[in-house]
Amino acid sequence: MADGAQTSAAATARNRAAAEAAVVVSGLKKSYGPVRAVDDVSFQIPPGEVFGLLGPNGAGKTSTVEVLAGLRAADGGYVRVCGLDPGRDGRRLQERIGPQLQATMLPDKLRVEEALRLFAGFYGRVLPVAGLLDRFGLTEKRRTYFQRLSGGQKQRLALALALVNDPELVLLDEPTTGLDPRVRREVHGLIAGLRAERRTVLLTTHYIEEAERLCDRVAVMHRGHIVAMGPPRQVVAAAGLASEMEIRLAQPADCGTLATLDAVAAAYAAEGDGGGAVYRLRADAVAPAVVALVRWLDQTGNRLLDLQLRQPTLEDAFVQMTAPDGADRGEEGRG
Amino acid sequence: MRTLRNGWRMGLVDLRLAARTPAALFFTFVFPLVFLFAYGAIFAQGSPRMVAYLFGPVVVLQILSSTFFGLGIRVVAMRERGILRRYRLAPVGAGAMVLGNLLTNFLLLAPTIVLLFVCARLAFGMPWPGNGWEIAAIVLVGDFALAGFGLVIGALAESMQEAQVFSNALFFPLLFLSGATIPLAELPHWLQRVAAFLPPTYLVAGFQQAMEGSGRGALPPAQLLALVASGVLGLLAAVQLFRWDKEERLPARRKMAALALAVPFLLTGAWMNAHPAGLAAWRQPLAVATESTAAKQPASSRQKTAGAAPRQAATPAAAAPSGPVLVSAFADPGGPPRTRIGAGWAAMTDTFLGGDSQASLKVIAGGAPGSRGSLLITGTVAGGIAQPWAGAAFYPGPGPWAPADLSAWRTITFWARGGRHAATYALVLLTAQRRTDPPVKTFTAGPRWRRVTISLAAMTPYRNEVEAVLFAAVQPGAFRLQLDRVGLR
Repeated sequence: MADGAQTSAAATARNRAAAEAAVVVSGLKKSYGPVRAVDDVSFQIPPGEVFGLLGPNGAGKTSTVEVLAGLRAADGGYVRVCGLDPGRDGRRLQERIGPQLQATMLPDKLRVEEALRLFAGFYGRVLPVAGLLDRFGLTEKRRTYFQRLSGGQKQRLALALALVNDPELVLLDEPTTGLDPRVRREVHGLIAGLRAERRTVLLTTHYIEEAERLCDRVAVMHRGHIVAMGPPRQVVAAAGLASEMEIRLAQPADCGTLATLDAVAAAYAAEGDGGGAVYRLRADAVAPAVVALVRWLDQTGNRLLDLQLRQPTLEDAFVQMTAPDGADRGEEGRG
Repeated sequence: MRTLRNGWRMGLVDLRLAARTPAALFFTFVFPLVFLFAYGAIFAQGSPRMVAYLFGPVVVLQILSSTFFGLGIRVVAMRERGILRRYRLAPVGAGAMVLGNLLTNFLLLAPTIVLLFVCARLAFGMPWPGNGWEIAAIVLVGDFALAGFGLVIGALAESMQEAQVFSNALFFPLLFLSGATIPLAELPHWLQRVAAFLPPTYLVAGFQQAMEGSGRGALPPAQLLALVASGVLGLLAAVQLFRWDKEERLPARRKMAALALAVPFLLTGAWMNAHPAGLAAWRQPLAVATESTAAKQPASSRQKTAGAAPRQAATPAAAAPSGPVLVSAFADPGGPPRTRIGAGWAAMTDTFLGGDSQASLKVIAGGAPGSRGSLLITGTVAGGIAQPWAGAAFYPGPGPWAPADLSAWRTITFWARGGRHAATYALVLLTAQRRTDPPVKTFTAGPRWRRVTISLAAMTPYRNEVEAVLFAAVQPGAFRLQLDRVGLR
């Protein structure tokens, strides 16, 4: 750990932050041989927040989570989870976190309720098993062998197991990967339930819409670095992507003129079915562009038949930020 | 404490899982029975004493297969399937996982052994072990020691395939060289020396000793220590090397550390090779067991040559009177030697052991004071073997060599008269439990009739399966011994 380099004041401030935040990560590094899976990653998660680590495969999400869960030793940096050092207090930490890391496998012939009771037996503080069965819709399946559960039921059981010790922090590594869309929604509902309980949740995903829907804040990881962090909307805004407006006018107009409107960066003529002339405007900010457009319509006597607005999504921001840039394309980090 | 508790939990869950897996049940319960019946039918040909002798190998085979193929491979399977990854996230700990595995193994093994005993008893009439506590201790210690090997295989193997290879590579040599399949005495001497390094050898020999109830302590302390040490080392190594994830790799140096497991056996093996007396002890049980089967078959033919066909008693030993009984008064000179209980009398000599001694029986007139007749045993004790003998055997059971329960009687009394010069004779109790050096009590007889009282209770605590009571001359040369008024009280 690079503790020695820190001034004592900074250390004190960090300690205070650590006491308050559920997760503090500062300058985390983790390499596998020559591959830097996690390179100087820093973030904090205040209690009760749902925090998403977003990134393509191999971005370093899973490595980060495994360090937080105490499964891997960090090569450098400062990590506190629930105020504990995962590298040293792993056992105490296990009592306080609820992990669900990628696909959860259990013995084929273990029944649902037995699995919950077995795991409940390992912890000091536990939630009642009957309550968990009920909450995760497993009451009817409680006598079913693990091998006979559907993908969605297995995932619900995995989440129930993660909650069995009434954890302060729930770590979910790709909780919906490989599930069909309907089951994924079901899991989203359950994670939203965790948020409603004010549990701190750290989830990793490569589904943008999942992060957008569930997370208070996201960090976009790419090649071991965090390239953007904040509430999903803010991350999109910070990416500086323009919104796109598609307008249909009663009478044709000049693209050059449209492009001079306030806040409009560019204008193109576009193909449109139905009547009228269709143009596509790229706007830096939507509201001023719409106001300017309406003024111009008033002045010219043209009529707006239709307007469609396409605002940039987290996905656009994500694609832009994690675009492979040729030079180091061959490098494959660990997930 | 927590490790113990979690280990117990894991063990019980694994046990439940095994009970739901038909293949596991087959290898736990059916497989050893197949071996018992095969061994019993083919090698022992149904003889209860041979079944008792082969019982140890069957049990050791089961311990070997349950540790090498149950215990060791179970961990690898769980690691490969990603199940251990989930346990790793809970505060369970490697210690609890290893203990749980060990516990499962033992909880499955114990009922199997009991089942084997019951089946061997019911199907082959195998005598109960001479020392039950010793049997239990040997099973426990033996399973613990071999579990150490299984656990280390599980810890070292990177894949199921590798675990299978490791297990087979150890299992078969251990099986064939330990006396579990081929009797130790049949192996060439250099292989017997190799066997001294193999833990199952101690178990097979110890088990056979305990079955006979020789009362000498079935496992020599050095072997016991080596077995316990290997169990402890295996347990520690398995915890140290425990891997939760198949992606994890062990550095070669740590793998080598697991070889420490072999050290106790290298030491004991080297010690035993340096002291061949230890090796000799292993050759003994088999020799004696084959002697007794050899004794069994020619028994009837020998009776004819001895000219004293025993009278078959209609009363089985179980229904024999329990009060003082005058077994034989030999009151019918010229006739056969009659008995109140048992199958009668027969001449018996060391010929079936390779000796050359002769004996014949005859009921003659005149005997102890006031007696009408007595049993005259004449013959020659020839040299040629280490302990030559010849004499007369009384079969207390319903037939020759059939075990009889004599525990209701504590002493045997008889009148004896020897040749012109006083000589030493031996009373030998041949029991089902103790075929290796059976209990012997000597008595002297000279030209005058003398009453002899010998405490059977002092000779052996195991009088519930007495096959024959032998009165034998042991000094080389011609002999003449008369017996009269043989009684039990």
